[in-house]
Amino acid sequence: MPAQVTNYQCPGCTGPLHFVGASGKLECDYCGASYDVAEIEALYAEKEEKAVAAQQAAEEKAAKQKETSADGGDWDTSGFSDDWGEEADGMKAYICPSCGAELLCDESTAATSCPYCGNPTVVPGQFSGELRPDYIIPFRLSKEDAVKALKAHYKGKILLPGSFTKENHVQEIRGIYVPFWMFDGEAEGDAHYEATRSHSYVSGDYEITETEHYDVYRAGSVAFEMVPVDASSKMPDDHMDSIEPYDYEELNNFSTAYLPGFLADKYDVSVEESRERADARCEGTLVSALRASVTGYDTCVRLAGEANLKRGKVHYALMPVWMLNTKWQGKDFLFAMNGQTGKMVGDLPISWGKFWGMFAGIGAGLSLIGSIATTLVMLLR
Amino acid sequence: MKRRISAFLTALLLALSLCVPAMAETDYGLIYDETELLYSEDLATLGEHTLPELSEELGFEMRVDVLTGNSYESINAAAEGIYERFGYGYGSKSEGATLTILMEPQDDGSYAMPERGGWCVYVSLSAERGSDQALTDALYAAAAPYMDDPSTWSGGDMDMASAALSWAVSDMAAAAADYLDDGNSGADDASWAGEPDPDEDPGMSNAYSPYVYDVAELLTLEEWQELETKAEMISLRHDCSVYAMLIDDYLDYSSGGDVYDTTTEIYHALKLGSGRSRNGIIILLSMDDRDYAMFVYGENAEYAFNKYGQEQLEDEFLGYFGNNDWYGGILHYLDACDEFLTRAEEGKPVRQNPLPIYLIVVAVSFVISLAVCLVLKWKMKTVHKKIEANEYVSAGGLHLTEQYDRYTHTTETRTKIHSDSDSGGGSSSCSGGGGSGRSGKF
Repeated sequence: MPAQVTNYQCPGCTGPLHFVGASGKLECDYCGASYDVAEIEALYAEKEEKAVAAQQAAEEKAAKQKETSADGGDWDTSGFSDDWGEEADGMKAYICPSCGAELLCDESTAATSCPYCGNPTVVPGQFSGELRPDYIIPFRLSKEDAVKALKAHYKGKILLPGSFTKENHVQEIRGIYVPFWMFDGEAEGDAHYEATRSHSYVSGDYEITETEHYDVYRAGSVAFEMVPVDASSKMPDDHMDSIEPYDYEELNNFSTAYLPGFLADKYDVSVEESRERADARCEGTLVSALRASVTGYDTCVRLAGEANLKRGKVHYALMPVWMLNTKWQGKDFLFAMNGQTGKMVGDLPISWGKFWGMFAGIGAGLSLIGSIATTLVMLLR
Repeated sequence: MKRRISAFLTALLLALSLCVPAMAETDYGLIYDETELLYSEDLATLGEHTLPELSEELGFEMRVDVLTGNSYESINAAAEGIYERFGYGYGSKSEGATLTILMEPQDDGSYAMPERGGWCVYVSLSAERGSDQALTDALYAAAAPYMDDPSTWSGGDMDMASAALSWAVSDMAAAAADYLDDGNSGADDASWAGEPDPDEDPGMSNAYSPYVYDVAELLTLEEWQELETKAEMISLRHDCSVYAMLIDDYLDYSSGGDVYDTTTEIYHALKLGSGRSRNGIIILLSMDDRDYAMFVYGENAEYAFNKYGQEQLEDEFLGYFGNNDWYGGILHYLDACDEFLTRAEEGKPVRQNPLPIYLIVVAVSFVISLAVCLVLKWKMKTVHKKIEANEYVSAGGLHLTEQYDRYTHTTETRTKIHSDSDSGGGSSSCSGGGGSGRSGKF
């Protein structure tokens, strides 16, 4: 059954509105008018309620039509089935308010654009009630910035195959608001270390090294605020980790008005499933911090220790990410850019010809220089 | 005899260490020097002792006149005129010879010999004793190698000129003795030529310079004689003098420098070395603080004993000195010198085999290259899973609730120090004194 979506339209000319990161406003592509997020939010609050009501009305109407068709006054569509099988569990249908096309999307999709008319749409029901995110960091960087950043990412990579830059074309650039769980909490624990401190002196014909051994103990706690873990199974965890950190100074209360023009997903990884990753990172920081507090020794070996985690509040936030897909020699390459800070990550292919050529070149060059220097030294001796 | 030599050498070395240029005289014995810059211990000894003794023994007077101006037509005329005017010559027949040198003052205060007509030999000899022309030719031939070297007499370094003059006079004395020896002199040629006569007390021969100086008296007479003979044979065979010097404390001979500087000073003060380039090698061992130095001087010597060669040579003997085996140390030193010099004469001087070094250079180069390439490869990967959450730590960071550092025990490890005497080394390369060498402890 198609769901009702909200189409943010310009109050002046009814053209579609897009959120523009550079200005922080919703702008109309047609008349050039721009509106504050709060302004559009207030305007569309009522419309969203109507959209939900219209959705219900449409559902009832469709049910009646079905009954009428069964009377035999219409085409025989009895062979059609509402049963989408298991696939329907992960799918959702939408009707584009601009062109009326019926669209099938992933059920976690919360904002998208119509492939027929390009109209940006938001699915209000995805972010309502308990599913409503607490925060959002709006996009600050544009698609053009992402393309520039990708080119900059290639620069200075000596081992990058020459044809990669030439033949590699960006297949798809998507600005996505990625759902994140943000965990508050505290890690507390302790650790035992064996530490040593040595000093040497000469006595007669012997050099004597005295090593003092210490039993070192540290216990303490570290508080954490908003440790992010991406809550979308579609986003690779390592890419999302690598584009951190975000500047939380720009955390805004959530509003769907930031979404037009970008894709957005709701979470599909639960808090419980995400917590383990946050716990592991907090524990790692505690272990490092306790070790760093042991100073003034020549050696320090951790013998035992444990860490307990006090879990605090969990926040739900959407973070801006530019995802760029490229293809080269039949292989896909995925790059991610922090839509706020511009940090670009993505593994690049290695030209093994260049690798071994460089290895041989540097080795041969250094050997030549070293041999000449050695020869000169030997001649001078 | 050895003790007399030692006493003489001690006195000689002390005198050398104290001598200053201000002692220069214009007239020392039979040598007359108007430049006042040619004075040296050797030259003074020749003028005051050697030449007068020669006169008495041969009945033939030899003199040297170094002039700074010439009122005669030529240097030959000057030599003859001065000989006649000042009544040179021995006995009633005034038999004798002069080496007359003309030196012109230079801007830097030194003197240089004119390119032509700068020196001559004048001989006055009665017919019954021989041909004065033949003797003139013999004396001229003896002096020419030293007197015709423009680099020695072109001004600047008057020490070189002084040394060359000493050798010239010594060789002229030997040549005169050779010529006049037919039945009337009885003099031992070798002693005048500066070569040692094993049967003669070398300490009393002013022209004699030994090869093994045992001032510290650590060798027996037999040991010294054996080593001295061996050193002499090696030195003569290779035309490169090989010296060893055992002293109590190098500071007794030092002008303020270290053991290496002192060794170079002694080498030059005693005019050691063979030939005009004074090729030679000397090791000096100072017993008080077990200091050691090696000094190599002269082109040929430095070809035979380059820095690597010096290290290798040192390995051959220094360990013996570390074990107080003075005879064994010097013996191995002499044997090693003989081998090194022989190889140098064959055109195969002791040199470091470069292959292992080149292999190490290549291996290190490729290890560095691999490290660089791996760093570049690592930079291609920018996606990493995070294992810490340091960016999200609250203000205040780690809050320590309990901590202690308890001392438990101390362990001790002892490592024997590889001492100089164990390794026979502990030395390092040195340069200075016109040559190169090594110094350290034994």
